[in-house]
Amino acid sequence: MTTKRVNGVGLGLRWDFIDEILATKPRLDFVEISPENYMGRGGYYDEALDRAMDAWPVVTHGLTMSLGGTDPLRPDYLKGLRAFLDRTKSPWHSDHLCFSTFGGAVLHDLLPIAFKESEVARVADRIKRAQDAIGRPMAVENISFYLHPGKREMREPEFIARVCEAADCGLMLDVNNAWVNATNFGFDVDEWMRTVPLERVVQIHVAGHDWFTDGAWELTETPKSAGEREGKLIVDTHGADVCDEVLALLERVLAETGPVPVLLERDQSIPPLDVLLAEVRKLEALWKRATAQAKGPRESVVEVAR
Amino acid sequence: MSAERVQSLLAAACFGTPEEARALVEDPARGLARHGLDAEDAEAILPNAKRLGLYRRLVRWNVTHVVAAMLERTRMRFEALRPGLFDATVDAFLAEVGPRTPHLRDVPAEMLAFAAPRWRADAELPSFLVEHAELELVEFTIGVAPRPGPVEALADVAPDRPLVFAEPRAIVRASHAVHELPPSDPQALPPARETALLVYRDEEHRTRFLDLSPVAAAILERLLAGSPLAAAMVEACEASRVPLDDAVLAGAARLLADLAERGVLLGARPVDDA
Repeated sequence: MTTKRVNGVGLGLRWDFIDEILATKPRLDFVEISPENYMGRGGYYDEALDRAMDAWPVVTHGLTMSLGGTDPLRPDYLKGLRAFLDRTKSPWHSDHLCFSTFGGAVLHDLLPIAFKESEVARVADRIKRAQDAIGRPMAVENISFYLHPGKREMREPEFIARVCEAADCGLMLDVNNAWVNATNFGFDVDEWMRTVPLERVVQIHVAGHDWFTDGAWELTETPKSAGEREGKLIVDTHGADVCDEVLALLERVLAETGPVPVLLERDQSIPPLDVLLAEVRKLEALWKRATAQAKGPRESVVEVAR
Repeated sequence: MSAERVQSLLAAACFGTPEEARALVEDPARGLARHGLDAEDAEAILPNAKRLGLYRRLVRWNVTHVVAAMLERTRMRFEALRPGLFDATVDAFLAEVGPRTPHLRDVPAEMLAFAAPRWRADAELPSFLVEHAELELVEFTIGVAPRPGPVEALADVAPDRPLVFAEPRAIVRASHAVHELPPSDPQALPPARETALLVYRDEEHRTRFLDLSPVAAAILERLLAGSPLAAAMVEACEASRVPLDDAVLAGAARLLADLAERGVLLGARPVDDA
């Protein structure tokens, strides 16, 4: 068995372009998949996953673990996930710092949790139990949110730092989500980055977003000034190119973290594959530039079995 | 626990009935109080309470989009025959039950399990619509069913042996020939005729359908259940009230040869196993 480090810039594998990307097999440092789309499934896409695993290292990113939920963690889901991770040999597994289940129902989206003292221990305990159940290191992702679901006893970056520390888990840092929240709620994203535990970052997500009117939720143009932002809200659609401000933030973050894997996510308004790959190449240039000047460059600590 | 109450509120905002959602937007303070939120939690939510509507839109889009995509032809026929009923049933499903599966792809099947008894009980709704939905969904479920395990050693087909068939496959029965409906005509009505379709996945991972005669369906159902070939034919003819004559024997031979050519019939279980 050989091993290969997961690092550099990867692309979220989506069915919209899976045929073309498997046919052309462009150079990619890694791809990311959502287990929920493949677990317990056979047929065409299951076979496509085998072909993808032959072509690139695969990392997994889940959607429905509901680490912040109050429903019990689902043993059948965790058991199936563990088997799936064994198959894909993903070096870590990430999911979101949110809730996505309630009363037995699965909401199939990422809903916010309150940044409370009592939530730190509760959520960290769930992460530890999930980590044990899947037999892999876990990383939790900061989400975009649009309201504070309860009293704020601490700020989001402090909450993230406390949860990661208590659970002793990794951080899947979504720089777009951080920027979206900072813009929507008006806080300093660089200060936010100085508070989260960058030393725990195992992977970074980057994506595009769209502006909507706040209330009618109609798609609207990107405001050109702070004054134009009134009555508008960014929604984390993954439906546009990564904006310049987020790219600049990514570069500043990579200069701090050193070389950690960066993943481009695109889920809506997906452009032709060559356009998407051009965005990956742009990110690669940024990644090389930023990590070359990193203050504390480090090697990816996790290897993937091949 | 306050987290539970807040999550109850958000879940209700997303999956509650349209009336409940409207009431929450019009008088959020009252809605928050109804969920028993602590005053300090309510105070944090109220300035942006209208954004509960955004969460409702985002969450519902994910779920309703996959249901509409996987039951696209069924929804089109509902719109032609009873406009609004399909979407209203999805709304009721979300409000009364909600998805239980972590796999978005399985939500349409959960929705149909909820909807089918209600649609069947609706005297004004053509009965073929449920059968149409079931057939449309099985095309997907067979296509994505888990890959089969390794096949054991096989023997030649013989009358005293159970046969071995490739997975996944199913026999779908209907009282109307819904599979004959032209996709381009949502108003079309299917002929009222008992039908049985073998649904299977071919080597290219495409879902395929084979229209079976009544006797062929009766034989195949017994074979799929594990009956030896001869016993399956005797029982099927008795159940179908047809003599087990040369015509049936010849028809069965043609059916098995066809299934072998399609890769559905793999062989027979060896005598020791049988």
